[in-house]
Amino acid sequence: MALNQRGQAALTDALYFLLIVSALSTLLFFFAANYGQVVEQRVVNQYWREYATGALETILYSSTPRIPNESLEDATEIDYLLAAVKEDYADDGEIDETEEVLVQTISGIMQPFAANFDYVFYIYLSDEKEFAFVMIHTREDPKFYEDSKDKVKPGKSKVLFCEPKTLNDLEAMVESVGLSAQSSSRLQLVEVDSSDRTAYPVAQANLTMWVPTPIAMFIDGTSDGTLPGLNCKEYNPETYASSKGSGEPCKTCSTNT
Amino acid sequence: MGVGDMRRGFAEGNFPKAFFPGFLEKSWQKVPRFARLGKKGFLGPIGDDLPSLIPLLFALMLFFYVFTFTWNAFDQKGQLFDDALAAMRVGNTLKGNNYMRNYEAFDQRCREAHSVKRVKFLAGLIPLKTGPGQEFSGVDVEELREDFQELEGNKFECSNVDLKEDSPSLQSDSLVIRSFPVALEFKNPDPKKNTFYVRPMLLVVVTWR
Repeated sequence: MALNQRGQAALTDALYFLLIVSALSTLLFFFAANYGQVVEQRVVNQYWREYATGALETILYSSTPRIPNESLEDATEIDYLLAAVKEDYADDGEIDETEEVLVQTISGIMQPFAANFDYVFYIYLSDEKEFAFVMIHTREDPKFYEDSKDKVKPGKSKVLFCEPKTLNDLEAMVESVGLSAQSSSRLQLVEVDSSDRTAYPVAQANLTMWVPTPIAMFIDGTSDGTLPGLNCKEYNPETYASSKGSGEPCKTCSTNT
Repeated sequence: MGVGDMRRGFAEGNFPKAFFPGFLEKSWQKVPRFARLGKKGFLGPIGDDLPSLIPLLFALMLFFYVFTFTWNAFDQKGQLFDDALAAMRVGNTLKGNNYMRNYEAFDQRCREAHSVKRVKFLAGLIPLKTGPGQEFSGVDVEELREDFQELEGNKFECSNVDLKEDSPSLQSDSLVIRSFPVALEFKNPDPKKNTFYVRPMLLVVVTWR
């Protein structure tokens, strides 16, 4: 190469060097920006799971007065919520008298997370393939206002009682919400039939929580029948007592579990 | 042509035709060795390379900037994970199996939680309200100690620092807040009844550096 081109050659070499370093730096930058995202997600997910497990255990450990309107401090008789639920189910094969106290306990325990999470709690009888209790905490879709100062208003949270036909209908909803934390526990319920024979069906209590995601199509179902809907009714604490007729002492209150 | 002839040819600046096509041979012969040394535009070995130093230095600066950024990002994220895991460890130690029989059980777990050394922590139990229309008021890090449950003169509070000298605030470095639901056993206030009940509580763990 001619000596008068020596400077140009060095410049070309330097530009190549710059090109290689730029490429390496870009790679390094992207690697640094994405570093730890998987670990971070796992740490967060672990925390959600810890919360879900703790919440489920706390729900099952909690006490309840056997006469609904009494406070725990002044209650004539106190029982574990789980024992009361079992007794209620044994009575008529439904969780109806303890339904409200169960909802209030679950809502109270999930309250610290409820602003940022939706959840479902259910008791499923795996042998009989039916639900004893399903409660979904979700929220309405956010509303958008053009004229208002606050253009987006978050949707109001609501509690639903549901009666899905199959476990698959509920699982389809849980699978659609993306990342979720789940905890489940095995229970043994009691069933007494008309001829006083006692059975002990195995049930699964499950609590699943997720970051709020629109699930209205799963709750309402689709018109073409691909999603059958979950047969839900909204829980309203003000009208619940009159609609359910609870508030009276339960008829099995005087007996011990 | 032997190897010796080739060597001689290279040394004299004459290249055999078999090695180079015609135009290269011509251009090589046209420019004698060091012919341009005294001509205008040549600034010397360093001066000639001066323009090439600009992209070279820029490349080095870019590389070291990105390298430092990456190093800091690794360091920062590593510390974030450490803090999050330390908070989880404190929480897991304190909550145990999510059931607390009495203050002694809490105190025992609190002593075990002191094995977490890397971070400062403050933890305690806050009552969770489960009645109708009861709202959770949230956690105020700076006023946290006032919300902790007190039972028979014992406050359900645990920390590995002297809270008179150091307490968490929103300005604290690497502040992490975690909460876990637990069940706490209460003795009935009426001693005649000799019964107990279990209330849901929230174990709040705050860690900082």
